[in-house]
Amino acid sequence: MDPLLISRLFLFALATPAFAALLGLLLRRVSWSNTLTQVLFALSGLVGLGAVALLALEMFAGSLSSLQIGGLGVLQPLGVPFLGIIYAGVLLTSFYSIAALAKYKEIYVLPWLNVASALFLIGMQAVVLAPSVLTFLLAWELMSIAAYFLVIADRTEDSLRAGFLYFVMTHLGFLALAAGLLILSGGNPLLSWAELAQGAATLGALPLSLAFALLFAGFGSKAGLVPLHQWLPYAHPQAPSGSSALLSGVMLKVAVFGFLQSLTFFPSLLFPWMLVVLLLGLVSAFFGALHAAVENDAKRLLAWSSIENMGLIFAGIALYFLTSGTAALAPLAPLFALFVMLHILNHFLFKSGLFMAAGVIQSATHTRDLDSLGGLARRWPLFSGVVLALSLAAAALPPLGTFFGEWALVQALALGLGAGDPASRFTALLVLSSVALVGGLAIFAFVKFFSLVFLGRARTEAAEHAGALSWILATPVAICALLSLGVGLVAFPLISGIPVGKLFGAEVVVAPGAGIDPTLVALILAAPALALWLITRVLRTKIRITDTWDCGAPLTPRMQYTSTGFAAPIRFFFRTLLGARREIITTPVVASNPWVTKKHLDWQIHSIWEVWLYKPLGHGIVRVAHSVRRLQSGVVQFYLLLVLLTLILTLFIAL
Amino acid sequence: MLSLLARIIKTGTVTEQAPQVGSTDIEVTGENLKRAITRLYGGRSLRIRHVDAGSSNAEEYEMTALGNAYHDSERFGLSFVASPRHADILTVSGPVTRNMEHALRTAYDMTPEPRMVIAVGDGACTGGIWAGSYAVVGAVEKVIPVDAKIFGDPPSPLQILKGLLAAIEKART
Repeated sequence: MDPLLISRLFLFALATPAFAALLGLLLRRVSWSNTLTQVLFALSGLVGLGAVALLALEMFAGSLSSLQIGGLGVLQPLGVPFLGIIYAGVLLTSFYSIAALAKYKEIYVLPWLNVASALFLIGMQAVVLAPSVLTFLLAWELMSIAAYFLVIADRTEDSLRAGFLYFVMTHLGFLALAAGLLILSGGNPLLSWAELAQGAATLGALPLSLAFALLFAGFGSKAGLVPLHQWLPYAHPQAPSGSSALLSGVMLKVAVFGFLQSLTFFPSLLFPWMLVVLLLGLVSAFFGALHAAVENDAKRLLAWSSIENMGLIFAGIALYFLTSGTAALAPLAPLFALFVMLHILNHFLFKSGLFMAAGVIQSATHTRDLDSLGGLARRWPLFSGVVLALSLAAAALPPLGTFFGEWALVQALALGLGAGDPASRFTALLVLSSVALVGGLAIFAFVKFFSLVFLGRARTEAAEHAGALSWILATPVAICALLSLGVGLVAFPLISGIPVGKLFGAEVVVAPGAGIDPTLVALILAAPALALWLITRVLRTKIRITDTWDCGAPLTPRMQYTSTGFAAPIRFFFRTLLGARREIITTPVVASNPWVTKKHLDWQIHSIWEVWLYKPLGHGIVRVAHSVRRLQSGVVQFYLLLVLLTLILTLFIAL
Repeated sequence: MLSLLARIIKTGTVTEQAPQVGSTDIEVTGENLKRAITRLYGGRSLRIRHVDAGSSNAEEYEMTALGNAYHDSERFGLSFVASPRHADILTVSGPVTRNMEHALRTAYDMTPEPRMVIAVGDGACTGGIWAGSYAVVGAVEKVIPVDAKIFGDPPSPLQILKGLLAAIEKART
C-alpha cells in the first residue's frame, strides 16, 4: 500500500471533525444538524481506523517503520495502537451521540458542544502525531481546553465547580510538562523528538531527574494518578456520557502515550524513578478501587474505577522497565508489556461501554444515584446482559479480555517470587498482594454497580417507569461488550505462548512457564453451564414459580440492599483511609418523653488527599498571597523603586 | 446448714413418679407416625406450617401442646416451621374468614410440592358453629384442596397425632 495514500487517510480523519463541527454550526437551525455532525465524526473515526489497520499491516510486514503525515508530523510505531483507540472511540461515541445528545437539546447548546468535541478529537490525534516539543504542547493544551468545555457543557453549578478544579489541575500539569520538556531540550521548544533525545543524553543526573519528576507529574495528573487525581472523579462524570466515555476511555490513554514516549528520553537513571512510578501506580489503583467500592453515583464510580485501572497500567509500565534491566528478571518483562498493552485496550473498551451504558440509564431514569435505581433487568433483559458482560470485564473475570491481561500481570508477579535477589522477590510479593487487594475491591465495586442498577426492584418511580430502550443507544454499548469478549478470544492464544511481535521496540515472546492451560480454563467456564443445562433439560425438573414469601406483609423496594448499605463493611474497614464519619442524631419527638425519638443517620466520606494535601496547600497559598498584598501600598514612587530593583537584579544575574 | 441437710434427708422425694415411657397411647401413636414417615419417603421428619385462618385459638392451644415436654412431638419427627417454603404439611384451623382467604391461598401457593393440607378442628372441617355467617367463607376445602380432616372442637393433641398418622398412611397408598 502506498504510504502517501495512508497518510492522506490520516489527514482526512484529522480534518473531518473540524469540517463537521463547522457544518453543524452553519446548519444549527436545521433539525438534523447534530445527526450530520455526529455521522461525519463517525466517518472520520472509520477512515482513521482503516488507515491504522493499513499502516499496522505495512509495519508488521516490515516495509514501513514510520509514516510521514503530510507536513504535520511523523507517526512512530508506538503511536499506532493509541491512534487506533482514539479512532475506535470516536466511531463508537459518535454513533451513540446521534440519539443521546438529541434528547438533551434544551440542556446542551449542541452546535457549540460539537465544536468542543471536534477540537478535543483533533487535539488528541495531534498529541500522538506531534513531531516536536512545541506542537506537542500546543496539541496537549488544545485537548485539555476542549475537554474543559465538555465538562462544563450542561452549565450547572456542579459542572462549573468540577470544571474549575479540572482547569486548575490540568494547567498545573501543563506547566510541569512544559518545564520538563524544556529542561530536556535545553530551552529550545522547536526541537524534534529525535533531537530532544540526543540533547537529553548529554544532560547530568540532576536535570534529568528533575525533568522526569516534572513529566511524570504532568502525565500523571492527566491520567489521574494519586495525589493529582482529585479532579477526575468530579470532572469526568459531568460531561455528556459520550464525552465521558472519550475522556475516561481515550484521553487517559493519550496521557499514557505521552508518558511512554517521554520514557525514551531517559536511557539511564530509570531504575530509582520507576520504583516511584510503581508505588504511585499501586497507591492510585488502591484508592481508585476503594472509592469505586463506596461510591453511590454510577458515573463517578466508573471514574474512580478509571483511576484504579490507570494506576495498574502505570504500575505495569514501571514493572516492565524494572525487570527488563536485570538479567535474572528479563524473561518476565514481556509479560508486563503484554499486560500494559492489553489493559490499555481492554480498559478503553469496557470503560467506554460502561460510560455509554450509564448514559443510557441516566437518559431513561433521569438519575445517576445507585440508591434510586434497580430492577432494570426486567425491562431491558438483553441490555442488562450486555452491561453484565462489561461489568465482568471491569472486574477482570473470564472469559473477557481484561482477565487475560491481568492474568499475564499476576503470572509474571508469581514467577517473580521465585526469581532474582531477595529484594526483588519481596517487591514482587508486595506488588502481588496489592494487585490482589485491588482486584477484590474492583469486583466488589462492579457487583454493586450491576446489581443495584439491574437486579431487584425499582427503588423510585423514575426507575419503575424507565421507557423503552433505543437500539441506536444500545448498539455501541453492545459492540464494546462484543469487542471485549473478542479481545479475550484473541488474548487467549497470546497468553498460551505465541510470540507477540514488537512492542516498545523490543521483540516480545511470552515467558515459558507463564502460560495458561486453555483446556483448564475452557473446562472451568464450561462446567457450570453444562451442569445448568443438565439440570434444566435432561433431568426435566418441573419448576413452579410463585411470589417471594413475604410473611404476609407486602414487599417494598425499601427492603432491598442499598448501595450505601452494601458498601458499609468496606466503609467501616477502611474508615481511616476514607475519612469516613458517621453520626446518629437523636431528636426527641415529644419534649416531655425522652424515649420517643426520631433518629437520623448522618454519614460522610472524604478523600484524605483533599483533607491533608489540597486544603492545607490552598490555605497556604492564600496566606502567602495575603502577606504579599502588603506590598501593594498604592504609592507610585514605591512601584518605580520595585521596577528599578528588579532591573538591577536581572542585570546582576544575566551578567 | 446442718439443719437444712437434715431436713433434705428427712423429707425424701415427694415428686410424682415419672410416667412409664413406651406404653402410653401417645408413644404408640408417635412411634407408628415415625415409621409411617420413614415408609412415606425414607426420611425422618415432616415439617408443618400452621395457618390460623380465623379460628377461636382452641386448636392453636392444642397444637402448641404437641411441642411441650409431655408430648414432645419432635421426637416423632414432627416440627413446626416459620415459612411455607420449608413445609411439607400445611395445617389450617378455623372457618376461613374473608380476611384470611387470600392469605391462605397465598400460603398454599408458596408451599412446594409434594405437599399436604390438613384441616384441624370442626371450624376448618365444616365451618363449625360459624358456618353460614357472612364473615366466613366456610370449610377450608372451599378455598384450597384438603387432603385430610381432623375433627374435634378442639381436637386433643393425641387426636391430632392420630389424624396426622391416618393422613400420612392414606397418602402412601
